[in-house]
Amino acid sequence: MKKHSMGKKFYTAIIFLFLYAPIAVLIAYSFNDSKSSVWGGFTFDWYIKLFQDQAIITALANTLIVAILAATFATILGTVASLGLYNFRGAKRRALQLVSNIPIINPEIVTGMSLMLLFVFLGQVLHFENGFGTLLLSHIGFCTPYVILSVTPKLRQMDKNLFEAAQDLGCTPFQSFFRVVIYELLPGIVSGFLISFTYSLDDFIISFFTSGKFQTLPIEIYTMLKKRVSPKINALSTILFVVIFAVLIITNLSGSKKSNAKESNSASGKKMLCLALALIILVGGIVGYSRCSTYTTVLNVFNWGENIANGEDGTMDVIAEFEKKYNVKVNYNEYESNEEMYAKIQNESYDVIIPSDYMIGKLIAEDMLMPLDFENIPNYQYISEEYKNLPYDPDNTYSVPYTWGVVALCYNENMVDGEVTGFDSLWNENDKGEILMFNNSRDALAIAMQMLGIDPSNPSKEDIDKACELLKEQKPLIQNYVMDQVYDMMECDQSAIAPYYAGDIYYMMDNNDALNYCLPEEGTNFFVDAMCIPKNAENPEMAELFINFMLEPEVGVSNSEYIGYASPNSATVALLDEEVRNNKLIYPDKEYLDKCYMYVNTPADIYNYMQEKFIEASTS
Amino acid sequence: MKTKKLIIPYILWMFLFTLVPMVLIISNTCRDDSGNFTFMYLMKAFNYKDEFFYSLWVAFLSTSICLIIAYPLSYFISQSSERAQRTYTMLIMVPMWMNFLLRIRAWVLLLQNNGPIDSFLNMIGLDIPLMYNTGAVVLGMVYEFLPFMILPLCTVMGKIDKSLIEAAQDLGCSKFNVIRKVVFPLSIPGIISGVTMVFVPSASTFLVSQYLGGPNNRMIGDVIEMLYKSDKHTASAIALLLMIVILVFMVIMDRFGDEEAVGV
Repeated sequence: MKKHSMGKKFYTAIIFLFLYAPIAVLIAYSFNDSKSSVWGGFTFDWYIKLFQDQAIITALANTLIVAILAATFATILGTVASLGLYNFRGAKRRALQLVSNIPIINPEIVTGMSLMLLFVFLGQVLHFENGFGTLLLSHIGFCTPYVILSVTPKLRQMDKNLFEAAQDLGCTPFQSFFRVVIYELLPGIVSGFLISFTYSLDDFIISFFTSGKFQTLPIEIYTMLKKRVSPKINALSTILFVVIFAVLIITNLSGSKKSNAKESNSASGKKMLCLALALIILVGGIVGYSRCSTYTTVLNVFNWGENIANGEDGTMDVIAEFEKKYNVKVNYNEYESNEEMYAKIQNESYDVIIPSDYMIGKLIAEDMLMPLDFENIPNYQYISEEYKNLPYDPDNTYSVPYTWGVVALCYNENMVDGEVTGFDSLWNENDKGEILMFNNSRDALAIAMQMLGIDPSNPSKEDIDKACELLKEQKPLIQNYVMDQVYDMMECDQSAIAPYYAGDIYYMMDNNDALNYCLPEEGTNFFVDAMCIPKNAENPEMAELFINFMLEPEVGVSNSEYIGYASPNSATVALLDEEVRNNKLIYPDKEYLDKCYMYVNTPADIYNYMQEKFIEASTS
Repeated sequence: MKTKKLIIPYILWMFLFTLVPMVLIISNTCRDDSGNFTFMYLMKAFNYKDEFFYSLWVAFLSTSICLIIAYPLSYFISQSSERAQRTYTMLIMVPMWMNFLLRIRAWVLLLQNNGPIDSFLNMIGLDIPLMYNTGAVVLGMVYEFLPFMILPLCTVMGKIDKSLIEAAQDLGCSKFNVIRKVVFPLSIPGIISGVTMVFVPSASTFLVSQYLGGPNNRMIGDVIEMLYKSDKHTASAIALLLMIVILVFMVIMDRFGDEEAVGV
């Protein structure tokens, strides 16, 4: 007997170790004195910074409210539906069950996009905008099937006569449910609630498409991906973890000596109530803390994740400064790729967006941008001539450059073979299994085209075919196709060489002394992110004030320091540290830039072809 | 019986939030930008059959492993006191409340070359490639979805009348036979729920293979993710095919469940 229970304990311990090991890592990194995965010493800084970050606190409050409401409604809807479903048999039940499971099966992006289409259509008819309500509806939608899946087995297990017996004894169906049946189902209902809460808490994709301008924590986190997820998020997770554990211990210590089944049922009800109350108080507190401003005008800004100085590391909190100066509330939203931004601005109005070059070309071609009134943007004078009238906006009527950069190579001096001079090092047999490549069709194909001497700025289908052949040759040498994973891989000595964006390589080199960079001798991609005002902006005057504010030299310095990308603003550059200003990776010489090319607006069918062929080349 | 009516609100709900979006997906699949009917996108979707089968294979492996790991644990938990059961349930759910992306990245740090696990294995003389392979992807899936196997199993096993088990033991059943002849048949509804809750999302999820897998481990969820931004039609077609395959799988599971339940 003893031996068996030892085995049990060991087995249980192993599984819990498996479940908790990553959590331990996650907690450890909340104390890391570095933004990277390299250990940089112990610090409490992230916790302090966390509480100064209004955006994260607001997002947390939003996430918790949605998760609690969605789980509650889904539990009610799902339990009621399970009771109904229980009385169906055969084909009918099977059909209902199948339709019910569709939201679980559907890849999230498909559900997200199709729900967005639905809500936009309904919104036009019923005059509402996507936001809290639509987000909640979509969460209830994907949570309910899980409730049904966890309640149904309990129903099948339940004695069929129970319900009828209760009624025979004089209960109404309603009473017999709430007095008898519900206790039989309770474990299923509770686990349905927990699963719903869990899924809602962590959903990114569906939320992104249905939330409008209502930002939740997972959205906040995923949009950080292009740069790097801030350890503030680890700090936040650690706090949540500790709070949950404290609540668990307290609820388990109090009133623990009841063994009678009936009593323990009511006791567990009370405990659930206590837990719910505690949660509501917690959420209320956070919401109160996060909503203390009172502004009348709202400016909607839509920017890349982690693409503005937020007051960390001695930088200026740009949004807060702007709010103070003009007495306006900035509703700041983030995205992770140009294409995601494009999908969202079709249906929602933003005042300022900051897309990349080719996307600006596309938006201009589709008549979605407003011409700017440069009278209201006097600081435009600071923009250097090199960054005006670029091919995507030839007369510079719609956009003001914000940051720019080039694609460069980052390599590990101790690992790479031979001298790195150009992109051909990504095809070096001797580095087999240690080469990383862009997991993004546009950038990966552009490199291959450069190798072939084709101009990548506006390729034809044949060009793409040729480039893909070259990528197929490269594939056996590739360790992985990556985007943001490149930070960990390069900083932790996992890979020898990778192409990435200059400003980001600069930060990687900061975290690992063995890393160095190379500007490919054949030239490379030169990119610009620029500020624009969409045609359907509600507050274009304020938007122009915002753009002008972003061009203030000091604001530019803060942004440059935080983002790490080059600034097109000559007054800003003059104020930067000499070391940064003279860094050839971030600010390459003019002669080098002359060798570089820029993407233009690729026609949709060519872009589709590119995506398709890239997936084919990088998979097969 | 009267309670059949209880399904009505949910039917209305499903019509609006499941079927209407489904129609949108089907219409995306079968019509091009100018609205003409076409099979082109469905044909295109077949180009991705390798990723498709690979995803089903990964989902199959993940589900099997989850079931094998979760079954004994759920049994132990269901045999413990009610208070302990509640604590275990919470302990199993809590890690899932931390952000998914952060947890997957934590695995990357644990598994990478010269990371803690790799160093330990090297120390005892083993050199196993831990990352960038199917094993790592399956590990990520098992980690992500294990709780959704354990929970329904626990719920169902907790309901099994303990006197049934005692009766079987009194009648001379061995421990193994108690599980095989009493616990297992009674836990089938939980197995079905668990398998559905693990298999379905692990076949269609994305990001896990991008972080833990290598260039040969791309899954269909990642393909849809990449395609949807540029080509909604083909992405919808793949999603539709995926849905059909999984629905067929679930019909089979369900039949199996029904027969078993009748047999018992």
